[in-house]
Amino acid sequence: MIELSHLYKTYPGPTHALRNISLQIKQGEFVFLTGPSGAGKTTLFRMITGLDQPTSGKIQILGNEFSNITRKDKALFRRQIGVVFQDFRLIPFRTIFENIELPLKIAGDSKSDIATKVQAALESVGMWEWRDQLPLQLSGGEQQRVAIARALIHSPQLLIADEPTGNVDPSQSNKIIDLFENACALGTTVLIATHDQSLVTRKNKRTLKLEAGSLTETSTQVEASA
Amino acid sequence: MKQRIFPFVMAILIWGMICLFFYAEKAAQNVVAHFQSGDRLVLIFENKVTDEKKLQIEERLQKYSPIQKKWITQKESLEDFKNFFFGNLKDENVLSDVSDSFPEFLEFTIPMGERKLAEAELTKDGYHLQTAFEWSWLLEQAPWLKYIPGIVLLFCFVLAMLLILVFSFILQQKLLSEKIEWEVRDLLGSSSMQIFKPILRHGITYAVITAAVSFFVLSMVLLLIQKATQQWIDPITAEILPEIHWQQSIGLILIALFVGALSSWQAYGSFRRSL
Repeated sequence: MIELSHLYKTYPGPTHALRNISLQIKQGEFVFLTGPSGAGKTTLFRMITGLDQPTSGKIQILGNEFSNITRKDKALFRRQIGVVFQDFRLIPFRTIFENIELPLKIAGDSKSDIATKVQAALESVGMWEWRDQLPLQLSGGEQQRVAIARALIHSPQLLIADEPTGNVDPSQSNKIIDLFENACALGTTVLIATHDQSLVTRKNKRTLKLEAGSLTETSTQVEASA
Repeated sequence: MKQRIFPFVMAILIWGMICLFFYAEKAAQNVVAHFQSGDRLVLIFENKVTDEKKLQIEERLQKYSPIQKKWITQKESLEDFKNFFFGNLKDENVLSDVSDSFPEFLEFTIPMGERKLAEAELTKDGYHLQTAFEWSWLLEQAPWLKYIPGIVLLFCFVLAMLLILVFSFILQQKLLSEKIEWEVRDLLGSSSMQIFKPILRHGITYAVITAAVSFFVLSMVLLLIQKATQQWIDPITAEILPEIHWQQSIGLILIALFVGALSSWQAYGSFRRSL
C-alpha cells in the first residue's frame, strides 16, 4: 500500500525536513504518526499525497511509483485517497454541500448518487443541517468535521488526516476516530498525524514517531488483552 | 474596477481602428478625383468600372438634365481629354500624373446649377469625391499617407495583443482569488481538462461580454456620428459607417472568442506553474 524507502527532503538553507525515512504500511492498517511540531509530519504527508517531491528516495503508493508518475496518473491516484488537511482546505465561497460533493463530481458520479452520498456523509459527522452554510459560518470543529466528511465520502483506499481531532472536544474526537475505524474496517488504510498522546494510547494502534525529520520510533499495537 | 473597464476600452479602440481601416479602404475604391470646369463634372475612378456600375451611376445622374455624358478610357482619348479639360487648370503636371494612374473617366456635363446636387447624389452611393489637387498635394507633402491602412492594421494588431495580455491578467487575478478552489480540485484528483474547462468558460464569457458592451457603446457612438454627419458634415460617412459597423460585428465576436480562449489558456498555464 505505502512504501517509502530512504526518503530525504532538504529545503534551501539547508533545512533537513526528512532524513532517511523508510516505512511500509499495509492495506487496511490503522497507523498513528506522532511527533512534536516541526518534526516533519506535514512534509511527509505532502510527499505521500504527491504535493511535494522528495530530494531523494523512493515513494510507492497504491502501485504508483512517484518518481515517474504522469499528471494523469497522479490525478487518478488522488481520486483513490482522502485527505484531511490541518487547515481543512474548504472552499470558502462554496456551501458545505458543494464542498462535500466535489470528490464525487470529479469522479463523475450521477446527481442522484451525489445527493444520497453527501447526505449520508454529512449525517455521519452530524453536519447535515449546515449543508447550505458557508464554511466561514462554522466553527473550527465544525469545519473539521466537514473536511473529514469530504475525505471519506468517496470511500478512499487510503485516508490521510493531519491533526483531525485538533479542534474538537474529546467526545467529538472519539466520534471522528470511530468514523476512521469504521472506514478502516471496510478496507481503507488510515494514516493519522496527531499530537494527542492520550488518543494514541487509548486506541492502541500502530504508531510511528517522527522527531527532527527522522523516524525514531515505531511501535506496533499491543493486544488489549495483553 | 479599472482593470475590468480597460478591456472594454481596448475592444472599442480595436473595433474603431478596424472600422476606420475599412472606411479608408472603401473610400479609396471609389472616385479618387473629380474635376469641375464650367458645367462639366469629370470623375476619375480608381478601378475599371463594371457595366452594371456604369449604368447605376448614369441612372443616378440622369435626373440632373444631362447635356452630355461620355465614358472615356485611357487608350481612347486621354490626350483629348487632357487637352480639352486641363487647359483650364494651372497645374497640369499634377493632374496628368494622377490621371495616368487611373484607367477610366466619366465626363458628365450638366447645368451649373445642378452640379452640387449631382455630387451629393453620388456620395449616397458611397463615392468619395476628392479633388485631384488635394490628393496629389497631400501625397506629395506626406508620402507616408498611403501607408495609413497598413499602420492602422498594425496598430489594431498591437492593441489586440495588449487586450490578450489584459484579459490574461484579469483571469489570473480571478484565478488567484479562487486559487483555493483550483488547488482543492487538483488535490481531489481533477484532470487538467476538468480544471481548464471552467477557466475557459469564464474567459470566453468575459470576452463575449466585453465584445457585446463595446459593440453597444460603439453602436451608440456611430449612430451619433451618423446623425451628425447626415445633417451637417458629410453624407458619405453616414452611408459607409453603419454598413461597416454591422459587417464587422460578427468579426468582433469571433475576435473576442479567440482572445478569450487564448487568455484562458495563458492563465491556466500560469496557474499550473504556480501549483
